[in-house]
Amino acid sequence: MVFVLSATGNIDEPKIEKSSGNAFFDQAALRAIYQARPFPPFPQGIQEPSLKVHFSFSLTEKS
Amino acid sequence: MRNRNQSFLLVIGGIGIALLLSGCPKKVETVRGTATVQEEKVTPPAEGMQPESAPMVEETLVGRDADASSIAKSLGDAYFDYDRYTIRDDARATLENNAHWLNGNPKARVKIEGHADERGTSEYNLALGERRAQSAKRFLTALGVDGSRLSTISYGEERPACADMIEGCYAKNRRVHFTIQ
Amino acid sequence: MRWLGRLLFLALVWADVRASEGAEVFLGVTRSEVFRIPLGILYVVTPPDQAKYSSEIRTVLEGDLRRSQVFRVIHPPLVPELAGGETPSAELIKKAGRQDLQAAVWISFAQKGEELMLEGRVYDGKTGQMVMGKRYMGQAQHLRTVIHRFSDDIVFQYTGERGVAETRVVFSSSLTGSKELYLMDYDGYNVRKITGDRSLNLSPKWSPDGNWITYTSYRGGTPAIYTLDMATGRLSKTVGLPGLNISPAWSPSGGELAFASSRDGPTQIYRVDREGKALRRLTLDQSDNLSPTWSPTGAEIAFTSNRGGSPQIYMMNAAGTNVRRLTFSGDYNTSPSWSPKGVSIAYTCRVDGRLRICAISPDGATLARLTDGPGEDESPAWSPDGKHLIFSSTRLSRGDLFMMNADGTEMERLTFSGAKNNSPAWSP
Repeated sequence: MVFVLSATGNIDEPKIEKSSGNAFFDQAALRAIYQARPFPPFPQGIQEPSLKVHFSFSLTEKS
Repeated sequence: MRNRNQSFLLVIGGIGIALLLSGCPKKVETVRGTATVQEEKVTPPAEGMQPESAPMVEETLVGRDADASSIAKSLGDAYFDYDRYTIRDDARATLENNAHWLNGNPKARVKIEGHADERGTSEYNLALGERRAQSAKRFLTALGVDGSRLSTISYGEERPACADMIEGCYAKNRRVHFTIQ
Repeated sequence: MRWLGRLLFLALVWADVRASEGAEVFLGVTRSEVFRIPLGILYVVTPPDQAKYSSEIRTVLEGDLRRSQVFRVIHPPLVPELAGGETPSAELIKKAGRQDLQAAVWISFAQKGEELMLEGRVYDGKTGQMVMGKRYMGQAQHLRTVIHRFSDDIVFQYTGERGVAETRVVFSSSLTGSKELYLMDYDGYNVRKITGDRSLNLSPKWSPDGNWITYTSYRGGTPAIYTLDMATGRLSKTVGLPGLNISPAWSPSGGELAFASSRDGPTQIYRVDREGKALRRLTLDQSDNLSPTWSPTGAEIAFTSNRGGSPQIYMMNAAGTNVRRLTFSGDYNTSPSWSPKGVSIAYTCRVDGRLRICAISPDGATLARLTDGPGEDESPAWSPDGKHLIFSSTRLSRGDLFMMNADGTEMERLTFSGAKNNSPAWSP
């Protein structure tokens, strides 16, 4: 997923940067991002007004 | 910095599981010890098939006052827009003609069939066909046709006039059709 | 989902990002798949002239166990000592179990004339102890049923809940030119016709005890609701109000039937008791309301309504009060089906102009699109264990039934008749 996070904790529309190949999993990842809003504001030391976040969710097989 | 890295990785690990949906692995207990072999007879459940039969009511064209084929030509189909049951202008003209014929043949009883194209779900299309039939009936009664001569029925998407999966066909299926009782 | 926020916060602290134009961070999480018990069929013993049954038994049983989502079927190398046909010792099982087998299955099968006997044993792969053993007897033509029974027993042994391999699906098909109802095994086998009146037979639904199938039929000339008693073959008319009588649905207790009728103009939802009496109207709006589905407690009903201008899924309690809208995404959401586990409502959604299967939690908070691909999908129905959905799709044909896991994975085609097959309902 990719989205832009602002200093105040808002995000713009998250997008699927690369699909996992499983529609349900893609949607679960999108939902996780939606439901985490609003994010806390940036900690001190980060100056820019926004940050582009690439967040990767992966699913592995455990036997 | 190492402690921060570790706690960060722990947080990721913990969140990884909390974040995504469904399916906590069930705790499975394997049964230990020896079991004995039981016996069981297997019979599938009864399935009462309906015997083949003809439908109880056959639909027939009854021509009392006029020849059946000329009746069929007199009452044209009226067409609708996608997902709509309001009467459009071209349908208005057809229905006015039908009302005219009906007013001139006061003994005729007519069944108004409402249909839908196959897009959309089949149950909802039954309701849509019903709306179209009722809409046409209201239009005819407003032009003076006695409502007790007009019955309505919906066939939804189940009796298409045209079977291809193209818009030309879909448009032909979004219709009300008139049959003489 | 506050975790994600905290995660990002920590990540940013850790990353110690310096002020610069267009800063980007890369983060990620990993989730492990749900654990499935490794299971293998060690051997199927048959009389020498009946060896052909061995592979059918394996195929059917492995399919059933895989679909249960409880087991991961593996194929350990053959233990030659088993070829002798004697019931295996604990030592032999432990030797076979070294292939990381947790459940080891051994079967002995024999057919004598019209009757068959299948003895199925399941062993713990680590200790070699027998976990369960059963001898099934039945008619030769019911071999698949016997295997399904064994599979459901194995699933019960390991989870406390029976599998669904012995269940059946009823659906409507245009195979003969009209629309008749057909039954098939849950895996698509043994398709058999159960109506034959050459009219339109639609929207079949099972009673909660599996003894009746209730459906809409035009056999009398107009759409009325009939009930077929599966034990006797007796057909009775349940509801015949003027206009449409469609989308029947039995309450989980079997005491009430909800359905939709257009007797008052727009289609409304009503309920009657099992004798077809005590008619009560539930929806009062002047819109179209249909396709009721009951929650597993029988306390609530989800349904389709276009009271908001477009068809959407709504919920109300079983008396018709407290109506609230559930779906807000998209302009066409219909045909809801409430999971027997209560946690999800599957329905047909229109996405980018095409019908798909979606699922939403009853509180409306979690929504997922489950299907994609060519054609269109509609009419979802749940398996009684809430693990699978069956639906009709034009992805490969004019209309066939497909099964998939509740999360949209492992899709499997079930019908191949070349006709339009739709409106499936899964037996209890």
